[in-house]
Amino acid sequence: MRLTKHYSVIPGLSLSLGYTLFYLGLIVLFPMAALLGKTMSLSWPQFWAVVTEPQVVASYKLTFGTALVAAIINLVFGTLVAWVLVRYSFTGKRLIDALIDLPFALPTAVAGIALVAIYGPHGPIGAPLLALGIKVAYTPLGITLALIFIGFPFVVRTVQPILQDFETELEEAAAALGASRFYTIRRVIVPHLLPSLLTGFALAFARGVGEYGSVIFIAGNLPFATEITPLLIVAKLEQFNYAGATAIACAMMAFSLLMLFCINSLQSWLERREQQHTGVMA
Amino acid sequence: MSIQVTGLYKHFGNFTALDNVSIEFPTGGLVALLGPSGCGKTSLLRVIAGLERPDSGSVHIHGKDVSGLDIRDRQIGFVFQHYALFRHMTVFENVAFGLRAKPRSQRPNDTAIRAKVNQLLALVQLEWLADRYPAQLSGGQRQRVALARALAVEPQVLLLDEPFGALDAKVRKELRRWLRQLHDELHITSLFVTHDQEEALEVADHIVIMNKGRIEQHGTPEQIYHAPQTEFVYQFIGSSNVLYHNDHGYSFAADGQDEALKSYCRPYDFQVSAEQQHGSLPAKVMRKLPLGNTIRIEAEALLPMAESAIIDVDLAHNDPLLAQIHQQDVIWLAPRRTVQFSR
Ligand SMILES: Nc1ncnc2c1ncn2[C@@H]1O[C@H](COP(=O)(O)OP(=O)(O)OP(=O)(O)O)[C@@H](O)[C@H]1O
Ligand SMILES: [Mg+2]
Repeated sequence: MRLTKHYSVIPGLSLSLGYTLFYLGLIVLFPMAALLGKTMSLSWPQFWAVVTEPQVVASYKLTFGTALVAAIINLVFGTLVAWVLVRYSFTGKRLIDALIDLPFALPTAVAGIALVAIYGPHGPIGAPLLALGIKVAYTPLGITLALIFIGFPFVVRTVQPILQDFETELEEAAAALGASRFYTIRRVIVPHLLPSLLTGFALAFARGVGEYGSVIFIAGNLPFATEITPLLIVAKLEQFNYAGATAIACAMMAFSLLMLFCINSLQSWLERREQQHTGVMA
Repeated sequence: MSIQVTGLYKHFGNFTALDNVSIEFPTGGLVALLGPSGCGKTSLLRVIAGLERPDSGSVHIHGKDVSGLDIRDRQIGFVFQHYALFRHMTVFENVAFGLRAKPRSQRPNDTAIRAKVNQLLALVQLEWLADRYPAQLSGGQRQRVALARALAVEPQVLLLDEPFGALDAKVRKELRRWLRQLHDELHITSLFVTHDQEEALEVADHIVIMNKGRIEQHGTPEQIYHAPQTEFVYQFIGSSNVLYHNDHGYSFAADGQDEALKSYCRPYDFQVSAEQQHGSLPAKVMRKLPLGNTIRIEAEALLPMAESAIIDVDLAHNDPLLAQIHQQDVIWLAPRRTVQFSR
């Protein structure tokens, strides 16, 4: 960790840093260490065998794949919703604004059951789709749908405040210079939103990877097809295979950390560029 | 006539921001839109630019009706009070924006863009800042970049909304002189909004005075300053004192304050003396303000009744009388020239 000491109007770096590290240790690092400790009861070849078992590997692909697709879809539509909420006034806007947070508040199991009721083979949307040959429930499509649902608020809520601060004058300036709407979005608006888009994307993605409750109902949990990694972990726990469960958990954690680290690096690179632009000396 | 607006109305809810505005702006002129805050200057500018749709009325630019046209197609340069520079782009890229945004068929090639941008940066004297980002510039430099950016697309008219409003007094002064020079070089029809009368009188060759969504008067700075046609314009340009005409001459307060007898007198239009003269009015000196070449005396009119009025009187800084009068002294004021607006 790099400590850059520069003047701040709020004193107490050592105190706040100490507190942060202690808190982080207690809440995040300690449980993770316990996880590692439990895994240590396996030898390296045993560990490797567990985490590379074909059924488990299939579940990684499914989990990360669906989370990625859901996060991308949320990125696009979440941004659109944020745009509409910030830029337009219409009746019922406040209600819609409040509804955005519903996936945060709803117990995930409730969300899962609701999704099955609607998109299941006999559901009001699931049945017609099935007639068209599109199977939603018990397929990766259904899982993605659940992940879109629970990840949706992240993008909206991170982009919304940035959009609110965005000066419409910049758009007007671009228009006065003859720029088309598309050009203005690409060269003026998106660059301004990029850091927040990335944050929203990362949050939605991370949430999707870790999601359990809303997915298991609609997933059908067929090995090699619709079985997500968190479910495998729970299954192993139910068989009292604690070491196996923690081994998979460790592998998953490693993947997640790697991805979050990549996103974070991208973001801090953007931020550094931004600081250079705004003249803030870091 | 390069900009002509006819019968413009603009309402925001119940509020009338533009109230039947019709005016023609001369080709190649540098025109100031002057008026108190909220009088509709920005609204008028935005309607001309196409950033705002009027409720009714039309806008012609160089004889062409542009009322239905989008701002993109009006060939207008617009400069905002707060610069509106793209902060993630360098100065160079900001200026190049309008050129790069052109559809492929009209877009100049890279060499041409580079040449054009450098030429514009030279024009605004900022070549050495081409690679900086807007946040690394001073306010005055930013506004010059904004101007170069607007000029890059060779607009037919240039609209500036309080371009120097966010700058400090000294930079303002420099920049407005510079704007004048630039205008003399380019002769592009320019319309700028200001609520600083000094700025308007100093820079513009034509001034439009607005009040409550209407145009009060327009003309050359001389006409506006020396021949104000309405009470509003008289009061808005320069300081003035209110007098009331009566049988004996003038008084600072009239019994019953008959509006028909109301007259105005400029601070420099008083004959000041230390003793009572025929037709002069007494006032007590409150403060002496040095305003450079003139000294402004703030005096309290000595009135028979309790109410008081502050009278502004200007004397030349070398007027021998100044040495004689001190705070709390009584001076005698005889209006040399007054103006009355019939209503
Ligand atoms: N978008 C808007 N919605 C509602 N009212 C508006 C809007 N824009 C302007 N107004 C009102 O219209 C009136 C004229 O506004 P305008 O911005 O044209 O004034 P201005 O002369 O430019 O004033 P200033 O010198 O303070 O900039 C103001 O009273 C303002 O409150
Ligand atoms: Mg304004």
